[in-house]
Amino acid sequence: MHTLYSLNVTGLVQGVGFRPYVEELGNKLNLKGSVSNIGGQVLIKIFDDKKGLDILKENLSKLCKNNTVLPGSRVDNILISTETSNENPPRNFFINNSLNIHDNIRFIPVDYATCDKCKSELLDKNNIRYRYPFISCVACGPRITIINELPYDRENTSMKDFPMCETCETEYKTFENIRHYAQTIACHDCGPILKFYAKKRNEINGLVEDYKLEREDAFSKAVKEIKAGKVLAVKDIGGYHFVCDAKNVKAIRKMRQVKAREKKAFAVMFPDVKTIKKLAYVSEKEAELLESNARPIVLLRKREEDGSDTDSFGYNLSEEIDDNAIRIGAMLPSNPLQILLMQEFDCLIMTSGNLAGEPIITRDKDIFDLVKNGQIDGSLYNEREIINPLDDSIVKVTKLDNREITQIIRRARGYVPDPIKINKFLKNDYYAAGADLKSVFALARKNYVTLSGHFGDLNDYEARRAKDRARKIFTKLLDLKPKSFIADRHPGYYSNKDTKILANEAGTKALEIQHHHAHQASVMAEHSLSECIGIVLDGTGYGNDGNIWGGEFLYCKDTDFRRLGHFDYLELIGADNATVDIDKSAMVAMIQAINAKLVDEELLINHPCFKKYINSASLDLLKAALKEHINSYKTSSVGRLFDIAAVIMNICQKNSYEGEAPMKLEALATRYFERIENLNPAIIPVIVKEINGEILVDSKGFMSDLFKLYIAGARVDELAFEFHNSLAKALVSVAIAMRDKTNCSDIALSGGCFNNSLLLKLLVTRLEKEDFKVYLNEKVPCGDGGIALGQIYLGN
Amino acid sequence: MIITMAHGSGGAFTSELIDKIFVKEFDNETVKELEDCAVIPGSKKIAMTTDSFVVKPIEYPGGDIGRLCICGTVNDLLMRGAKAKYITCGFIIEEGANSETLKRIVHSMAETAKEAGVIIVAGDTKVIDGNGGIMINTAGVGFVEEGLDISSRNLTPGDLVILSGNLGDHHATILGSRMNITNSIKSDNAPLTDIVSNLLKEKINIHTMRDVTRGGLATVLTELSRSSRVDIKLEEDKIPVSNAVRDFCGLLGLDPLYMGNEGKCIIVVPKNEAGKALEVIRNSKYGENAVIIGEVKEMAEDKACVYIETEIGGKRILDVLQDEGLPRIC
Ligand SMILES: [Fe+3]
Ligand SMILES: [Mg+2]
Ligand SMILES: [Zn+2]
Ligand SMILES: [Zn+2]
Repeated sequence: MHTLYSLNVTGLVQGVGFRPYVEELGNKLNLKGSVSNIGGQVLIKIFDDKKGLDILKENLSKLCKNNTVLPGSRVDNILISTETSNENPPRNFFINNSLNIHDNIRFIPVDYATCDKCKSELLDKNNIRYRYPFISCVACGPRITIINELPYDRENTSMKDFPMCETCETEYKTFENIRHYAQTIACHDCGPILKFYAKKRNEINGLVEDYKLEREDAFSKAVKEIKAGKVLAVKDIGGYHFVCDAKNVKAIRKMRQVKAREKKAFAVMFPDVKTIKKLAYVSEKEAELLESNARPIVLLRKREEDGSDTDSFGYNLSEEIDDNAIRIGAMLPSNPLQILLMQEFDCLIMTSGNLAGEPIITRDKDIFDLVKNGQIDGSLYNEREIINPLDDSIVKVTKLDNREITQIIRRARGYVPDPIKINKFLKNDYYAAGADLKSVFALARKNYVTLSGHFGDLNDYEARRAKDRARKIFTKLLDLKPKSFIADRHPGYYSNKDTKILANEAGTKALEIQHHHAHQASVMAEHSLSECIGIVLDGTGYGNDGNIWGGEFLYCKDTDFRRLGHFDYLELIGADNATVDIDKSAMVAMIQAINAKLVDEELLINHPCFKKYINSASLDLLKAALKEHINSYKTSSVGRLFDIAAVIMNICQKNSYEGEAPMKLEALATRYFERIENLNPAIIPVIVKEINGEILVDSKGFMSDLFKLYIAGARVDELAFEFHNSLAKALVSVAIAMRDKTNCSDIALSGGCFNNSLLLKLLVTRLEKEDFKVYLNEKVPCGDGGIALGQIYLGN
Repeated sequence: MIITMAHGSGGAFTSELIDKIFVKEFDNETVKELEDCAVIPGSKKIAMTTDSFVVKPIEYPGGDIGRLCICGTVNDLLMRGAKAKYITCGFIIEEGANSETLKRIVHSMAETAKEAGVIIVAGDTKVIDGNGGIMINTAGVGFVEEGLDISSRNLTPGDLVILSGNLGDHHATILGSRMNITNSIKSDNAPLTDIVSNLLKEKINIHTMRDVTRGGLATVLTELSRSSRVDIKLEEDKIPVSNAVRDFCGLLGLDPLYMGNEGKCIIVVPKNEAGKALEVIRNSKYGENAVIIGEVKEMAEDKACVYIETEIGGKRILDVLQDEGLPRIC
């Protein structure tokens, strides 16, 4: 019998060279045992040697913030448990890569950004991997995106196509080498080769032919092309990017054509934080996120001093990039190829390589087709297969009064498939389908929930296939056999129908969860709550009464909920079209305000958008359709109120991309708020009333007041701010009314509208003043990307 | 004359109604016999169908419930390759209906039957409580040539899908009428007799035909793809919709792919016959705007599906009609 010590280490311990460090230490101390990554933590196993354990622990405790021993790492906590074991100790101390299994739960590693050691080797003329674009080590490189099967051994990844050369094999077998047992080890001689593909016109016969280059030639040609304003595809770890020069307006316009994306902002890659700081404010926390292993796109407040974008950067980043948004999506290189590229540029557009509405492209052949069609100008790629596609993650930091919180907008590369731990033991294996847009599914066993990447809109053929494929491979990788199935209640969701079929095949019935209940439960799951009140502000969810919900006041206890109230229903016309043609939706809302005698129809003539409807056939048609309820639905959606408010203030008349109007409204309001710098009392009295025991917010009255103030000549930015401010104030009254009914002061805020940092700040500040304990999403998106976690938490 | 319960009593009032309205309009020997049932000649494979019509309003631009109830039943027979022959009709009339309206409707039925080449051989009338509405049930009998196999299970990868004309007219007309909107849109209710008989005459190898009624093209094709276990690919810019209907739908957020029609069908034929079939259809009455809208494909995954290639290069998956008008975008 042996004594087995298990150390659970938490903190910044993954993707920073932590395991090789521990391995080295363990071998120096002659320990017998292993170190492995487990779901965002590190697990160290040591057999018998208590003294050695203490020394190791002491060394690890020194890895505090800004330590110089292992830069980037930070040990927060070490939890030690002891047991007797009849397992045989290993002969030495090693990195256990292939057996990341704990209590029957499999932990699949996330992809790691290039570590500092590899980066310096990459740039070191004397290193054998100098400028090798696929350098990696035991602490860095692709993982989940190239794994086909467990255990995580080379032959189970797409590295199997690249057998190690002798040099690599020697390193692979050498202790204390950073590539000891590194499954992704490769070099110029044996690993993937950088290639360039384009079409070229033969100058003699005029025919268009293939143009192919390799290695440095490929690289320098690509750099030259980008500098010349071309749009290229560049293969990343989890999929392709489309890349062009961020300073070249023509190139950006071409990029917009390629992606059929009229205005929505593009992410920009910079070489380092210092460069980003010339263009945007970067807090300590934001810098930490930018440099964190996931290397996410971080949405940063742009510098706009003196009303201009010009600054020490030496040029303006064009409005073409970001539709004059308040924040810029910035990111740092996360793989060796990007590091090399960013030696040549100080900013590049680095947007997901996908066509409008489709998932990210991962297959070289699909990119070749785009090159052949002339849609893009060339491809910089390699032949390592991407097995599990993952987009760049997107995060932002929202500054509340007393703290900063990280909001995850898209949880993908670098986060997936790290599981989320919940304080609940599931009785069997679960599959939760999430929602149909920004679709993310979850697989869960016991108290671990693994979320997938994002699949876009499941009405898209490729998105649906990508999700189906990912579900199959994730189920296999996690070795789960789902017995319980959960889907959203929406009868028009593909995921609803599909999950019912899956459940049926497994001999059971799918559990259907109301959309906003799941939103609130996602917060409860993150914070281990079993009871709370909540405000869920959202675009669209199918309600239990058959109406479309989206401004919900819920009391949740265990797996049940009660709807304490909601935003008053407005009737809108035309299904999904109502979220795009928002000028029409606003007109329909005004007709209802006029019918309720809240607004005088005569005033429409003074409104820049509504006046076009006066005496028009369109207005007659809309009125008649409202009267006869033709293709209409009733909704409490607050997302739609943002749309309508933006039209009333003439800020935006169409959503050319999702959330365009709300984001523009937020931007105006935020710029105003930053100027006044203090929180004024709200000036629009939004009525919160109780009817038949239901708490109702008077949306019609709110929109009518906004309209009248606009017509009376109020400043648009002030009004935009007041919209947020008054909304927040009304929601506090709602929260107090909910507390009176339930005696519960724990309040969860969720739903896509809380991506709005200003609304969140205004509301949280006020709620905390009223002694509410406020809980928010920090591990999963507050939008539909977080739904699947909530669904799992509501499984019984 | 206002119709009352007495008109449904079976007595003198009933006879008056039958004589003055029905027999007069359905002017043929069989119906004049006023027997308990019609005895009619026939010897081939028989096709039979029935359908009930409850449209509101009962008269609308381009047609009325009378024309509709003949077209609906005749078209259902035609879609299996049958030659439509005989129709029966049952009227359920609500008290308060105007006999002038009834007369117009019955006249329209007779005209449409003539156009469609069918004989109305039997009928029945009941009067019930209500608000003057008129509902009609029709049943139809047709003959199918030996050896003809037109069914929803016959789609084969490589086949092309022909749509006989513009989408959405009937649905838009009914909605417009309900809203009291005047515009140029008219119902497309029409018998597809000419199209089908010409195709059969030309010996086109028809794999499948379907009239595109309730639920629209998306629903019909999705059902077909599931029956035959194939994918169907459509091209967005090929789907014919009139400008008037497109404008109407745009504002109301309606999707013509899911809107009902009463004189449109899809015809699926092998690729090598598609050109000829299209020509035949275009030269037939009510087939002038026919187009090839898509292609039958091998099933790519384990579920059959219908998708439409959008103008920006995406592939949107279609499904059977769900609760009308519910948004999904969050
Ligand atoms: Fe949602
Ligand atoms: Mg029918
Ligand atoms: Zn490394
Ligand atoms: Zn090598």
